[in-house]
Parts: sequence; structure tokens; C-alpha cells
Amino acid sequence: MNSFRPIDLVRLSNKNELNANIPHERLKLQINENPMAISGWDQLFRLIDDTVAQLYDKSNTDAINSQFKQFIHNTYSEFLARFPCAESYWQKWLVIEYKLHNDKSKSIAVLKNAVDLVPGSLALWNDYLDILIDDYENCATPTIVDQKLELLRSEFPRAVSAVGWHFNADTLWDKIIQFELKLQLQSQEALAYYKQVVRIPLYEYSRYYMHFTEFIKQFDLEKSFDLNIFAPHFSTYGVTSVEQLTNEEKKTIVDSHYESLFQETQKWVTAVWPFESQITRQFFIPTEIEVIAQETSKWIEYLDAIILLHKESPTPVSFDFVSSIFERSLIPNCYNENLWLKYIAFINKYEVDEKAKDIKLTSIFNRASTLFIPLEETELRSLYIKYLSSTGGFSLANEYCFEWIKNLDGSTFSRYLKKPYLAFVGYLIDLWENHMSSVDLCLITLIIIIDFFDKVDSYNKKQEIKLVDSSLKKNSKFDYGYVNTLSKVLNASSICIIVSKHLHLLLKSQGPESYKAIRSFYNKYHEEDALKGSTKFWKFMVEHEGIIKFNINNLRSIIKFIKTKTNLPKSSVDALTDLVYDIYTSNYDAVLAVGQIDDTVVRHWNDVDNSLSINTDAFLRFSENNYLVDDIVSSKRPPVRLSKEEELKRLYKLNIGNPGIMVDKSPNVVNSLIFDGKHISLVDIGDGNNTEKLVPPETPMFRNVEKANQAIEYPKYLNI
Amino acid sequence: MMSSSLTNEGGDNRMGFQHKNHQQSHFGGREMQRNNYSSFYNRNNNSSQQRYSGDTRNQLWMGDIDPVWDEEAIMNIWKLVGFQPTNVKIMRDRNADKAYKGRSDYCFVSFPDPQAVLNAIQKNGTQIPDTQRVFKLNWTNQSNHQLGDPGMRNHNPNSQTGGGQFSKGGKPEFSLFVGDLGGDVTDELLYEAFEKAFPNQILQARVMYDPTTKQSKGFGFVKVTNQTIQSNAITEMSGFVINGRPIRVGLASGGANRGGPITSTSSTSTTSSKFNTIENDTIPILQQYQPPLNQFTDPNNTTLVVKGLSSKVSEDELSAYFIAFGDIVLCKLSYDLNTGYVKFLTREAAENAILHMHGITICGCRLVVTWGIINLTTDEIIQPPEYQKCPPPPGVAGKLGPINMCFHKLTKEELLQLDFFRDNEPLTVPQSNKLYIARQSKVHTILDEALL
Repeated sequence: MNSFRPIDLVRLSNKNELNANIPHERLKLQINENPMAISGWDQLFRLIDDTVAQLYDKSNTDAINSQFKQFIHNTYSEFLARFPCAESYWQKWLVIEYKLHNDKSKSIAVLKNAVDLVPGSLALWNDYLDILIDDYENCATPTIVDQKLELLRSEFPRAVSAVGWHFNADTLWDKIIQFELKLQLQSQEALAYYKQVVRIPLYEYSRYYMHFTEFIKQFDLEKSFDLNIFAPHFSTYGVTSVEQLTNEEKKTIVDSHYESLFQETQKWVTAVWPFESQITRQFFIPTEIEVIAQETSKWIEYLDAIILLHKESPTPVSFDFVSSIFERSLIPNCYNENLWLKYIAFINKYEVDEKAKDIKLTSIFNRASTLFIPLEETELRSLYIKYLSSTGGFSLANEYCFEWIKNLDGSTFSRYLKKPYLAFVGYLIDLWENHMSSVDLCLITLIIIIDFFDKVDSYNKKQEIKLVDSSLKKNSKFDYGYVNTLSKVLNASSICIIVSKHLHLLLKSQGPESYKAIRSFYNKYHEEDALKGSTKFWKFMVEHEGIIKFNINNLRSIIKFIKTKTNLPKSSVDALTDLVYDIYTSNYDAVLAVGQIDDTVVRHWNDVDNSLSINTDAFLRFSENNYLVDDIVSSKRPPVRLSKEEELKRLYKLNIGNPGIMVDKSPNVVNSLIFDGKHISLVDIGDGNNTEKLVPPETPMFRNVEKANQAIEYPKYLNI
Repeated sequence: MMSSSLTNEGGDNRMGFQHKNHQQSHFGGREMQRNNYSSFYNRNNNSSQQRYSGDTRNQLWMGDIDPVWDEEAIMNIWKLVGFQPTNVKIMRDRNADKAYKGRSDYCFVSFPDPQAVLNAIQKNGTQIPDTQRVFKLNWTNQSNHQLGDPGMRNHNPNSQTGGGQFSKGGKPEFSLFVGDLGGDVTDELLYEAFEKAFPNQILQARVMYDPTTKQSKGFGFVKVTNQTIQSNAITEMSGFVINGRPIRVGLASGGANRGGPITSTSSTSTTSSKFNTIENDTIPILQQYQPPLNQFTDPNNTTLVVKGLSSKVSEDELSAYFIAFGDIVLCKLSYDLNTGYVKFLTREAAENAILHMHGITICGCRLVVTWGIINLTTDEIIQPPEYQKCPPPPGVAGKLGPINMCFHKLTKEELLQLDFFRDNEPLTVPQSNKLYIARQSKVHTILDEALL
């Protein structure tokens, strides 16, 4: 549900332009609330279909106003930018575009866009070529006929390289070959396509082989086939050139050559058939994401088996074949990061030509990163950063990082995606670490940290930064402008990443003397709100004092601060408490040697308890972090002002009987009963003589009884 | 003043209006209008019987309704409190405000059976959901005496019987009201208790349940064979302890007849006391507001809604803050990243979490935590039109792991491997070691995988 796609970085439709009074625009507004929900889109497309069917008038394309046409166009293009692999929606779109404009060129434009975006889709290529052929054949203007043929001839090879290896690509091959044969019976183009197709393991592979053997009879074999086919056989026939061979001999040579190829193809088809027959979803269908997810494992088995075959006898043909299976599997599984990574690993390992490898990898990285992989998943993108930096593109890698950081930090994109944002900040620092000494990076991170926290006293800050800056040995390879750029995009969460890195670098670069710097850093910054929520920071400090320096006094004060003052998740606090408990118990002799005994070990299970009456430290922590308590405390003046803990207890009390709903109307007794020294002595009663002196206690008087019996006001759902 | 026999329809109607006159103080300025209407109504005495069509038995008079409400609105109000009235008839008044199509401020509500009428009238004086008004209900003359089902008084002054006697098909029945029942007292328990005291004299015992929450309303009715048993039971069974709680026993009808059977009643006293009966005495229990069942009142709801995240808290962080209170079934964020949904395995965990986390500031966000709804079957969060009762959370004996976990993050295999262990039972050394190591590894995972 929370998958944001790269498309979300570019908002295609402007929300303000939509009018909630028009049914389809209202639906679109609802979709904008959650554009990943396919049901909303389907509802909108049905409405569009119905409206178009109502208004449609074949003779008058203006029956539907241009505003609605534009709306339909925008809707489909936004949907398909989000789900580019949803073939059936492309097909729906081109039909509706044709209907609306009565203009074939609109449909052609849609399909051209489609095959550019999803080159691996056989169905879209089929549709595209169909419409181009149809357009060519029905063209009456002689001047542009040639242009159209030229376009067709240029699109054929693209189609073949994109989907020619598809197991069911016979429809495509038939289309192309028949088109060429229609133009000319002894078509050289058709022969060239036949030569290609007989080597491809298609479902109908034998049909093409049979056609081919018949088809070549019409040709002069010597001219039509490569010398390489004949050359190995010269010795057999005792000749030195092709001309010396008889036609019969040439035919035998060509036949036997292609027969061996046929057997090779047959071998491949037998190998792939068990897998091909199991896969039912070749397309991406937004409503069938679960079925597709189930089939992902089948695709992976398939790929593993074929990669193994390729590994045994690598040939360019088998390489192309594996690539084509990858491309195909990445249509239904286009959002699956692992499969993309597998593809990249395959290309990286098996592509021999370095230049081709670079082009292919860059293209795959770009396609996956900018079109498909959900924004929350960053592994492929981090791999791209490493790839860029390893191939000498350090500044490219930096720019790529910054671009993503800026896209995700909430300033340009309407949403702030915390997890990937933090990941990219981390990648950036890692990238820098590989390009400079840890001493330098340690100083750079210190500059960033001073810059972030010490905002008030700008004069002092500058002095301090200058001081650090002067000790920095400038590295000519590193552009120090990046430091400023990073400082500008940091927030209270990402600074924790920098702090954690800085501390580790301190430890690493300054050796045994590092503890001084670390402790002074702690003293200066540990009360910063940003760091109060950083598990990494506190873990580092606990490990530093508890394991590296083993200073029990420091450890004690740190864990006390963690338990009472920080804003960490309770699970983190519990984990740190566990860690301290472990340090204590495994070094108990040393702890005793310090002389001071404390209750850390005894209280351990109290300190991780959920009950605040047992876990008193947690109670302090919760009262420290509760804004309701803060508001109450700050609104009161002494003497009515209570401590934060007291106020929190009062707040908790309001929940009695109705957890989660604070009711300030509990009935209470207003008069004092037999207490306050008005006890009735049972001894007096026992006497039997003093009974008349006894005054019966007051009957209790209540307050708020009627109020308490009133209806509870529940918070309005979803409207807070 | 009126005919002695209440079977006379004219007399019935008159009686109906008399209790309305009794309400004058409630209606204030409208009094005149009402009197006009009542005289009009009296004049058209016989024809008026056709004015509210259908079966006029099993009806209740409902007053003080908002003129804005139409029949459907009133129908919905009753549905909201768990009743299925068969018909609602708002009386039209030609002098009333034209804007409301001449609707006056009272109506007649028909119910499918006498039992429903009996249940419905207990709503008298309680708040109408989502409004400031309260139910103002009364018997109609028809429902009063033409019925003889449990809980319905027989007002026939000539019958010479006391309260609590009902007749069904001419055969008298004697009922007792039993109050102060514990929530766990069932029909069987109630029957057993009375049967022990009066063997073979108990015809039926029934505990009243709230139709929406399916919980006991804390009272019931017991039918006995004769009047002697009835009066004996009142004295003998009052204070009898069933399941640890002393019960209260009285005549089922109460009213003017409280304090013992009255052998003869003048028609005037019956009619004039009628409204009082309903106001104060008929059901001798404290009328407490019964909230409709929703996410706030469902005792089985374990889903929390966390608002105010403003995209600064990731899903993992949210679960890290909430998981400390118990095992989480599901934790996710809404598409706009503003709202989080956390479903706990147990109610206890959810209650703890809502208590501690409401009002907490995390990552600079001020959290608002309330009870919520989540649809587990689809990936989209859909607000169902009506609240669906939650199934009770599964029984949990002990713990599932060394520390709490988030089930939706586990794979199917991991889920199947989960096993309960009791943390309050002695463990063998290997078990204990295994647990310790598992806890340690979990602790290190938490620390290593922390986002910040």
C-alpha cells in the first residue's frame, strides 16, 4: 500500500484543476488520495467508457468536448506512467484515443510511446506493427508511402531485438515475414528474418524451419548465404572456392548447417518448455499482483536453469536468449527489485564486451531506477552509486545521490519519505568515505554537525568551523561545495546518521586517545532533541563506555539518561537496558571492584516492564515526552502546578474504565466519611450503653453522578 | 368520567391523550396546539383508528421527536439502538409547521412482537444516539391491554388481579422482575435458582440481552404458576445470591401496583398514574446510557489509529514504538503517511499502548492515538459503512518469543514455527539458554537495524 513509485516524484495532474462536482473529476480526486489502489482507477475507466459510449457520435468528433478529451488523455497517461507494464490499459487507451479523435495517428503515438517505455511487451509490439502496416497499406498519398515503408523497415529490427526472442513471438515473426513477402516474393529481407528465426527457441520453432527449407530453394545459395557456412566444407568436396561447388553440393551444405542449428534450437526448446508451460502471467495485471508474486519464484527457477545452460556453453545466442527471458520476466515482475538485481548481476558477469556491458547496465539501472522500483527500496540505487563511483564517475555518483536526497526530503516531492531519504544520506557518506581518509571525513562531518546544532551563536560557530576547517587537508579530488549542499538538506533525523558516522570515525582515526573527543562530544550534544531519538548514538555511547572504556560510572549515568530522558522507542530502551545488564553481569567482578554497588542488575526486569508503576524510569520518560502533560504543566502556575509525573498520573486516571477515551466526569464522593478521625469505635458499640452517643456517619455525597451517566463523547473517527 | 371497560376504543384514546396532557410542562408553548389536536382527535375518534394503519398492537408512543425527523429517520434511530421496528407513523397535524410537512412531535412505532415492545420501552429516558434528545416513550392504549405477553400490564380494573399478572389467550400468567443480575447469569442459572426455591412452580426464566452488544442487561423475568408463588418469591428471593450477587425481585409491571397487589383500581387512578409509571417505576433499574457498538466501545477491538505522523515516522519506527506493549498483528501507514494503523494481538497490549502512547511526541510529531478499524483482507484501508463487531482476540497462553514481534513481517514458515512458552514456569537449562540467546540476538537486531 505504501509503495511510492518514481512517478510520484513528478505529479502529472494538478489537483487544483479538478472540479469535485463533475463525477469523473471527483473520482480522480479520490484516486489522488491513494493512486496505488487499482479499484479506484478501474471505476474511473468504467465511467469514462460509459460517458464516451453515451456521447459518441461517429460523424462528429466534437460531440465530446476537448476538455473531457484532455482529461481522458491525462488520466491514461498518468495511470500508465504509474503502471507502464499494464498492457491491457494501453490497448484500452489507443482504442479510446482513436474513437475520440477519429485519427489513427493518435493511436500510433500512444503505441509508439508504449513500446518505448515497455520494449519487452510482445502484445504492444504486435499492436504497434499491426497499426503501422495497416496505415501503410491504406495510404493513398504516394509521397508519404515511402516514408511509411521506411518507418516500418526501421521498426522491424527494433521489434525483433526487443521481443523476437519471446517464446510466443511467432505472431510477430509471421507478421514481419508475411509483410516482406507481400512486397516481394523472393524477398532478401524475408530471408534475413528467416535466418534469424530458425535459431530462436520459439514455441513454433519447427514450423519456421520447415518454411525456411522450402523458402531457400528459390535463392541463389551462394549469394544469399555467408561464406563461413561453405568454407569448412571445401576440403570435403575437394574445392577451394564456393564457385567450384555444384548447386546440389551447396544445398547439402546449407541444409546440413541449418539442420545442426535446428537441433541446437530444439535442445533449447526442450530445456525451456517445462518452465514456459508453468508460467501463466506473462503480462502485468494490476489486479493480479498476488498471482504474479506467486509466479515470481517460477521465473527465478527458469532463469537459474537457463543461466546454468549458458554457463556451460556460452554463445552470443544463448546470452541473448537469457537476456530476453530476463526482459520478459521483468514485465509482470517490474516492481521486483531482486529480479532487477539478478538481471544486473547476470549482465555484469556474462557480458564479455566491456563497452556493451556499460551501455546495457546503465540502461537497466536507469530504467529500473526511474520507472519501476518503488521509492522505498534503495538497494538497486545504492548499487548504481557504487557502480558509478567504481567506473570513475565520482561526481556523477554524488549528483545522483543529491538528486535522490532532494527528491525524497519532502521539499520538492509532496511527501517526505524518511527511510529512503536516510538511506541515501548514508550512501553519500559511504561514497565520500571511499574517496578520502577517515581523518578528513571525520573533520568534514564535524563541520556539518557544528553547523547543524550551533545555530544560535553564529559568531562562535564560525570560529569553531574555521578552526576545524584549517586542520582539514584539502583534497583536490573532492569538491568541498558538496559539504554545503549536504548541510542544506539535512534534518533532525539525518543528522543522526552523520553523528553516528562521525563518532565511529573518531574512534577509528584517533586511536586510544579518541575517548576524550568522544566524551566531550557527548557532553556537548547529548541533550539535543535530535539525538534523544537516535538509537545509533546511544548504542555507540553504551558500547563505548561499557565495552571499550569500561567506565561503570559513565555507563550508569548514560543508561539513566536513556531510561528517563530520551525519546527512544521503548523497544530500543529495553534493548539498551539488556545490553547494559549483559555488560554488568559478565563483568561483575570488575563492577564490584569499582566499589559502588547499584541496583542496575536487580532492577533489570523492572526496567523493561510495561507497567509504569513498576517501571518508574519509563514513567519519567513518558512524562518527559508527553506533550499533553507539557501543555497542562505550562498552562498552570504554582502552587496548582504539579510535577510532570503527577500530571501524567492524572491523565492516566481519566482513562479508567474506558481505556483510550478520557472522561473527566468520574463521580466522586465530596464529603469525608468516617475518616479524618471520625472513626466509630467498635468497642463503644460493644458496650451497649453508649449507643445513643454514637452519631451515624454522614451518608456519602456525590458529585458528577449525572455527568458520569451521560453519553461519552467519542473522538470523531478520522477527523482529528 | 370514562367508560369502565377499557375494551372501549373511545376510552382508550382518551386515556392516551390524558397522559399527554400530563406532559404539559415538557411541551410548554405548544400546549394549546396539542389540546386543539386532541379535541380534534377525539371528535374523529372512530375514524382516527384508521389513521395509523397496520397492526396497532405492539406499538409504542414516542414523543418529543425532532420535527426534522421523518419516518425513515426515526426508523434508523431505532435500528441504531438495536431494534427493528416494523413501522413508524408520525402523526400529521394540520396546524403544525408547514416546513415539516405538518409533522407533529410524536409518533407511533410498531414492533414485530410484544417482546420487542417490552425491550424497546426500556429505552425510555435514555439518550438518542448522536442527538441531545432522550427517548420519551409510552405504551399506547392498544399495546397496554390487548396484549398479554410478559411485561405487559393488564389494566383491566375489573379483572381483580394484581400487577404482574398477564394473560395469554385468556390464561393468566404471573411474572416477576429480577434485577441486579451479574453479567454472567444465564437463563439456565436464573431458572435453576428459582426452581430450587419453588420446585415445579417456575414456567420460564429469561435474562434480557442487549441486541447489539449481546451482553446481559442485568435483569430478567421469571414466570411462575400462580399468584401465591409470585408474592412469596418477591419476599423469599429478594437478596438471593446468584453467582456472587444478590438479586432484586419485584412484580414485573411495578407501577401503581408496587408494594403489593391492589385488588381494585379505579379507572382514573390507572390512567393518571400511567405516565408516572413509565417515567419512574415500570422498570425499576437505573437507566444508563448504552452507547452504540463502535470501535471505541467494542471490548474486543485491538486496533489503534495513530494520527499526526506527518510522514516523519516510518512504518518500522512506528512499530518499534508500539511493539514494546505486545505482539503486533499488523502495522501500516496510510497512503498520505499521516496516519498509522496498529493492530495488536491482545486487548491488554492495545489498552496499554493507547494509555502510554497517546500524547507522546516522537520524531517531532505529536501523536494522537484512538481506537480504530482496519480491514485485514485488503491492502486498502476502507471505512466500512457500519461497524463490524470484532471477533474476540485469540487466547494467549504465555509468550510467543523472547521479545514481542510483528506478525505481518514474518514469512509463512516463520509464523508456523512460532510456539508458546510460559514465562512463569520453570525452564530447563537448555531451554533457558536457548531463550536467552534468542533474546540477545533479537536485542542486537533491534539496535543494529534502528533507522536513526
